[in-house]
Amino acid sequence: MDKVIVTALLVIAGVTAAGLVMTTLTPIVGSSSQSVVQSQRDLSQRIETDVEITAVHAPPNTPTSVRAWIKNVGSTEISFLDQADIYISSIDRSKFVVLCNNDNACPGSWVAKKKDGTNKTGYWTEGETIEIDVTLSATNKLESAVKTYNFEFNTANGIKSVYQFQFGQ
Amino acid sequence: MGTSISALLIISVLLTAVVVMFKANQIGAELLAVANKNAAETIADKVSTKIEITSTQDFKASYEDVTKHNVNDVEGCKRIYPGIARTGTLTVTNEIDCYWFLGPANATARFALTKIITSPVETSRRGTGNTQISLDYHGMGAEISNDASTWGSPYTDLNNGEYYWEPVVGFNLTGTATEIDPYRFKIWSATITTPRNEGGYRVLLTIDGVETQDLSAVACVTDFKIKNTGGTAFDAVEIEEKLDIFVILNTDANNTDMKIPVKGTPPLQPNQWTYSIADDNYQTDTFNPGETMMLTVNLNGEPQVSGTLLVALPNGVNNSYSFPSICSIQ
Repeated sequence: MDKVIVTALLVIAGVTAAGLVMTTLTPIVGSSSQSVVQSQRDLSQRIETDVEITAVHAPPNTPTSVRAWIKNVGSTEISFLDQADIYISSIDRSKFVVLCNNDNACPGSWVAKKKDGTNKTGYWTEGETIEIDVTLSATNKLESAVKTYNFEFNTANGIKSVYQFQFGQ
Repeated sequence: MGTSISALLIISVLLTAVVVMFKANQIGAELLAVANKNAAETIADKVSTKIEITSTQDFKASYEDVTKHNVNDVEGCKRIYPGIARTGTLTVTNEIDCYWFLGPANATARFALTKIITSPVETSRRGTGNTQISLDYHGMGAEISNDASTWGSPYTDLNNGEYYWEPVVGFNLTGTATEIDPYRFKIWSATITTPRNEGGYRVLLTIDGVETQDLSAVACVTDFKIKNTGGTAFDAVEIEEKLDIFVILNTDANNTDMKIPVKGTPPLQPNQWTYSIADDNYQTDTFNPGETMMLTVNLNGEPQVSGTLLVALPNGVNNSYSFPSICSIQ
């Protein structure tokens, strides 16, 4: 009789212990595997992302305005365009302007447009070219004395393209 | 017994965890492999992509306009610019060509005249050079006549065995010429009274202190020719939707304008472009390696000035080409 009771108690203890291990280990394994997949997915997304600045135009009669055309030359679509980081800097390092997305309170503001001139929203598809219209504040306008600038574009996931342009061309 | 069961359960849970982690790694590795493959294909595509741009050029319609500056002129005159040669052919039905030009008063000018004996000069006269091309400068106001006695100064007659005239000493541009009353000269065959085929000529005018005229004043591009000199093909959808055309116009010495025409279909509207593929026998509508795309851009309404064409292919590879101006599309 004692042996049966002891055995029953041991079975209950064993099952309880196993249950505890399962309940604690399963979520850890699940989230861990998800993290692995997600990090690999992010990495693969970065590998497939590529952009190229095709042209930049900065006419001399409007020193506060710069237009750039950027092509998605990767093998995946690009999301969160509004979170892209754009900078304009002079090659003599005298000027570095951090641009904000559609915010005129910033030193410079940019909006993305499609080829037809309408505002760009949603995914930036493969092969698509968008236009970035930059408006600089008066204090950050392009200076003819400097002439050569860099236009730098960074996607939200950190892929960068830089284009050197001449002010007035 | 209980210990064994719990041990078995824990082992099975641990094994499941290992399998799940292994599977997750496998999924991640597959994602990376696909991404690497796509990236490698994209890079390989770009590396093997190359285009060369040329153009078909024509003279602007205004360059062929003829004007009679004297009511008695037998022939209207075309404009000639310093530094840009004119060519023509004197035939039985075209005995005289006349040109007008502007320049600073009292400047020194020079002509260079070359005789080109080709068709329609009769074969029997070609070998002997038995033709005559004359040049007579008339200055302002004089009548342009085909009368044998109406020679000008300076003048030349390139006769038998004479093929080239370029005097060392220039002549003086007398008076202040305007577009209404410009300096003029004629190319003809001065002493030949019976019409005959004299053949071709090339005349070049230079004026001291006057720079060679920008080619955009006389020439324009009708079509751009884009040759696929790489190893990548582009299908019709890629070209129609992902090819980018940029035109930078040098609107004046200190300013430029950027035009981004969009894909259109003939008849083209202003600010549209269209294309065709020459000798498109293999894979119709696909821009294959070795093929040439004829690109037509309608920029009617924009200033006819020099500029740069920038073509960005669907995979981002681009090339540019400088042009004198783009012809208006009728």
